[in-house]
Amino acid sequence: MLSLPLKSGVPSLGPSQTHTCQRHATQSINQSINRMTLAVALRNLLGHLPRTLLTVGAIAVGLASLIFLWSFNEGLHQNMLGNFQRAIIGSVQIHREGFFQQPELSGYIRNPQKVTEVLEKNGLTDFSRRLESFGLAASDETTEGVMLIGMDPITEPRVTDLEKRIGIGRFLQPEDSYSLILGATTANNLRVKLGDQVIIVGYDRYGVMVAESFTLIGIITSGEMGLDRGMALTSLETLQEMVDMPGQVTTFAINIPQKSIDKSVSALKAQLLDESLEIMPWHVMFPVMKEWVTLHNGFLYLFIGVVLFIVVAGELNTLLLSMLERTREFGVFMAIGTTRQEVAALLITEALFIGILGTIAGLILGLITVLLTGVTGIDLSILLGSTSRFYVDPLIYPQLELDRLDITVSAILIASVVAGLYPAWRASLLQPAEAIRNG
Amino acid sequence: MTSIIKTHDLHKCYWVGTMPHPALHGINLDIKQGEFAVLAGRSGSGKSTLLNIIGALESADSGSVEVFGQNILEMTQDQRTRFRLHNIGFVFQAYNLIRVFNARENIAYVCQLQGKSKEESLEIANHWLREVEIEHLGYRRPDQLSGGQQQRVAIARALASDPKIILADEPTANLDTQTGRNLIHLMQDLNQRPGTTFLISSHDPDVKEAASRLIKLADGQIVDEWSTIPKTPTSIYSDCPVQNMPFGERVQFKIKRLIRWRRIRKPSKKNRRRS
Repeated sequence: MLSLPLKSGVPSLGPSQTHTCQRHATQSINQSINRMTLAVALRNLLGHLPRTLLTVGAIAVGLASLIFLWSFNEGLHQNMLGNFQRAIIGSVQIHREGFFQQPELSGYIRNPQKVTEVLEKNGLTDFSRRLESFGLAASDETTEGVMLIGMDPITEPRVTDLEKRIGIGRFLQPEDSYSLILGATTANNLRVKLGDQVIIVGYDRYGVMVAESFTLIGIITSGEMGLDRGMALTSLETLQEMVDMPGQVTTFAINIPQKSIDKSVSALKAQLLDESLEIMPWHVMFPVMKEWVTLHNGFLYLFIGVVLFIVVAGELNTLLLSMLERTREFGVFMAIGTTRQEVAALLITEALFIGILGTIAGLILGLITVLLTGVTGIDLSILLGSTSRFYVDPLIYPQLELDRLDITVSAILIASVVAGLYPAWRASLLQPAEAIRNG
Repeated sequence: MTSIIKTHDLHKCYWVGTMPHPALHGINLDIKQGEFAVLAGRSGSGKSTLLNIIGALESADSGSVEVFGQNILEMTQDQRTRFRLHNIGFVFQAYNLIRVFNARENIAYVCQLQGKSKEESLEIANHWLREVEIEHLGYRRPDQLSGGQQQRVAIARALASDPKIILADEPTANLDTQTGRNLIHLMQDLNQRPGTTFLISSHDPDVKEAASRLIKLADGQIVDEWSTIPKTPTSIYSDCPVQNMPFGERVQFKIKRLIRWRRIRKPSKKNRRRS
């Protein structure tokens, strides 16, 4: 049996008691926030289960849609950038300084052996050597300007998938000599077909005009304008022989995983410092592609903003409604000794609970969606028709980026707490008597 | 006896738009320790407002309220909250229990706010549930209790923080007559045994009859007041403002008061049995 002291004498609050009150107050705040606030918040949410579930559901759907959108976006970008790089340019190219702006054979790489050694030393084995120059392709009927590329038929497939883009005929073989692959548009303009002879006119490294007859063995039908028009491919040895540059190359095209491009470029730059070379990642060569991705991500951030606004508005509505419904209860809480801060903490805790539950549900829903669509892929061909001209495959596989997941989850959680701030502030301003009277 | 509540020239006016509604008009009150004082008066007479101001739930426009010698009107909101927590217990007309807590937790909550451990708080809650004779209902939620049972929980909650004063605003208004009487006896019992001071606003005749001191308010002013507690041992009627009553009513009133006075002075049957 608990013994409760009966009061005797007149109690008065002296300085020591005031101090005791303050100490109790501090203890009370800590303990109540840690235990009772959690208990009250949880019970209040469970007490209005349909409303709580609706709000949690809204957050979950918002988060899941964001996770899916990020993943779809990432899958789309990876697909598009991968296709773009594997179409012809590779992830990184090495040329002699100024060659990219002015591609002339005089700008060949002086020491290709050293470049090869450095690449292999850095574990970059997926590279292909090329000799590139401008030329003129001529058929019996007409001529067309082309970018003439001599490539190694064995190493080229490590960097590009040109082999897969040959719609008519075949890709280059090591034993091929004076064989030619043209883009579909170029072949069409020249009015040539497989097996026809095409004259290629060019200049050697001394500026002397040279011309050779090539047999058309393949036609690229990629649907991508950059490849189908103005491209003429032959074997490296053939072109070296034609322009009298045996063993010389103008370009190293390298395939590097996306995430390590910048790091590899820095390492190569440091190790090839004295070779007067330009080491260019794809986004430096074709910045418009990166700008497009940035713009696309910008739209997505805008969408995130809209979703966050909806989440905040939905939760704010729930909490505000809950706060107004419980005005009398908050008045009672204050009347029996709960401080304003504790009342505010109660509502913020409820908001946090809703946010955490919504985030967990949204994570599960989003991850399941991404995992499923990541396996089956999403077929855009019905919606978009041919997407190849944008370097996009019709089947997109969403890819989840953990960095994006962190940001999205944090944003949803912060938004949840922010949604609780206003009702908490309103509740903390309540006057106990008025709240009990009018609540 | 020592004064524990003193108000001096207390004024309070509510504003509805630009229309003033005076609630209190120069209230001077002195409540002694251990009193079972009742504020009586019609609706709108200022009973609840006075109670709220004394309980630091509301501010006054002017005047002073000293509770245990401290002017509560000069305190900040947080200081008032803490002051209430440690010194004042509230009993409301509508019970106002926390609906998500059961009876036991409602009582234990205030103890936990005071910094007591959960175990200790629940032990105190059990004690007070026994005191108000509803120990068996401790695990029921407010919506599973009758009005009388809820009010008992509310009284237990008010007492659990070990306050020196209980302020009760129309505690029997929502109860049937018998339940209301039981509750009054309970409060009287608690008033006599631990010596808790009760200040009750009510227009329930049973509550007024139980009062050791009756303060009648009208239009925000004290218009009548009597006490069964003598200012001096020889004159228990010295401050009785009944001189203007007709003779018959005056005699009847004095007899009733004498009976009431004897009842307060004598231990109850229950206490006699215990002793």
